[in-house]
Amino acid sequence: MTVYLPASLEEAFEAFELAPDADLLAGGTDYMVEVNSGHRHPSKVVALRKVGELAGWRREGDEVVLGAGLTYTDLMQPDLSELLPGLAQAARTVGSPQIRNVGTLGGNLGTASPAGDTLPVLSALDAVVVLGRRGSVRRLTMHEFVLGPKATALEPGELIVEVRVPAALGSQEFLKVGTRNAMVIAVVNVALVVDWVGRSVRCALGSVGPVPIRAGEAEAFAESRIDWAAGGLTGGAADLAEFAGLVRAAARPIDDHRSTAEYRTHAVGVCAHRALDRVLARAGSWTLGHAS
Amino acid sequence: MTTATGIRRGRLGESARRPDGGPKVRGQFAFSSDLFAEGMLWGHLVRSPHAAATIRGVDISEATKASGVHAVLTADDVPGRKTFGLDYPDQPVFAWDVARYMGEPIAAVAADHPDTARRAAAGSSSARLRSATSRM
Amino acid sequence: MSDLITYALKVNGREREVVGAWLGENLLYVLRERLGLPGSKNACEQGECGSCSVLIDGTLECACMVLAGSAAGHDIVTVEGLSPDDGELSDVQEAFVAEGAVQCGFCTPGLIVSVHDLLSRNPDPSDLEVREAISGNLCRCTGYGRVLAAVRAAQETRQR
Repeated sequence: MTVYLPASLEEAFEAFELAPDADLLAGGTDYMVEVNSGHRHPSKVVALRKVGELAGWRREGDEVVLGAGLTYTDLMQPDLSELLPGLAQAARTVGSPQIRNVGTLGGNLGTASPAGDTLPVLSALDAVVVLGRRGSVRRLTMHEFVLGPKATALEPGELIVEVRVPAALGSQEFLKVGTRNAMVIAVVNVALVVDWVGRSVRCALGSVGPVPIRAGEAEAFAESRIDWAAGGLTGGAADLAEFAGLVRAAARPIDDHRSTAEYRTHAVGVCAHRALDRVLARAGSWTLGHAS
Repeated sequence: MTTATGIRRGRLGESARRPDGGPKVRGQFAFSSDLFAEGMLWGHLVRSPHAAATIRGVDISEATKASGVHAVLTADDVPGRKTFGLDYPDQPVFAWDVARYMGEPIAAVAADHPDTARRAAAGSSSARLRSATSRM
Repeated sequence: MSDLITYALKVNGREREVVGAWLGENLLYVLRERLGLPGSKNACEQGECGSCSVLIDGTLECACMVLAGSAAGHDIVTVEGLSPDDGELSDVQEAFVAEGAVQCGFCTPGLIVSVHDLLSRNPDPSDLEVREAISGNLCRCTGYGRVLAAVRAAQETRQR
């Protein structure tokens, strides 16, 4: 019977101690749909709108620490999008300006929909999710945090405080396919990061499994075939096609009301193909040592 | 006088200013859902979850007893002809015996708050609708 | 019913009390049914159509996505708050009427709020920026052509 409106993280923890079974409310773009349709009946709510500490970000060496309260609009701003271009691209595909203005990174993680648009990017970046309650924090990898469709390792009384990701890592791409070209839940989404310095390829797939999938074999293949000195793939178009095939093999999609497993498998290959192609096309500028 | 588009007003063949434009851009034009009366009730429909189904019965007892619910109506409450329609008045107001499409109204709940109406409607619907095998 | 709360909202510059409301009510419901401000419209209740667009602390949001009680202590502006005090129309509102961007009018309040938000942040938006800014406001009648013309007209008016 209460809405708690903490104005600081300290107050949020206090509210949570008073009501450990309270619902956490950030942007509300998932939560309120459930309430409005009668599928959720709120009884106690801790609303995080005023908690300033959650809405900021900072640079710590070669990491960026993102507050869980950052909105998709925040993630698209020039300073952050320069450090995390894949995340900015993903944020731009979410909903509408109204949704992007309030939906949060923490909310996307907390909801853990298999189609969550930030999730493949966070997975590809090997993000660390920081969970907190008063006096203690836990750090989990994406694999440890996202356990299944709409299931996370978040415990009662905990909230997602921040997410740690590498800053300006390589060349990043994010692609999404939906039933229309805006305001849509992903049928397939793909995040690709090619680290020219570290010589690594990371490719994460969304909406083709219960949780984001790292296409490990495809990553290893691309790493072995990229000419790290001069750019491009040793085997050219054939390698690109092989990469896409390995991505398709990694997908475990289902049929649902939005799409079929067959189409999803096809689409995830197309997206991976396109993503690597775009990254390689930009590669010239990377090997010259300039940011793309 | 000229407008931003350069069209002069007040002459034959010109674009006339829309009379309801002012109220609409101010949010003052009343659509039917904007109507309000003190003490008004809120309705929510119980709809068939099945595309083709036999209705063995509708149990409205719990919904009727719920606090805040003022009325629950079914086909039994429709006076006179129980169907409507423009050219062929053969569409049930509330379905009885048979539900012919997913979403067909079977009952209506009137309550003093929309959430009360919705909860009462949800409670009374699922248990009593038994579906026949699909005829599609 | 249980879960009743009482709180105050600041709407269009005025403090308004909300007494004995159900906790789960969204801001759109409270504006329309408790505060006598039916200008914001309810078409989807899912944050998809934008007909309920309002400004909260200067940020464009869908009122249906806001738990009303959580908006206490924030500045809410609705379409009713965008008309100048003297009963005239804002430049954006005038442009919508003059350019034929109003048909049934159901999407209009949401668009008016979105366009006010756009031009206050970006006085000289490109065509793509305008389209992206209103992409959260669905209109079934106009095909958006006249809406885009209205935005251009409002832009020009402001630049004069």
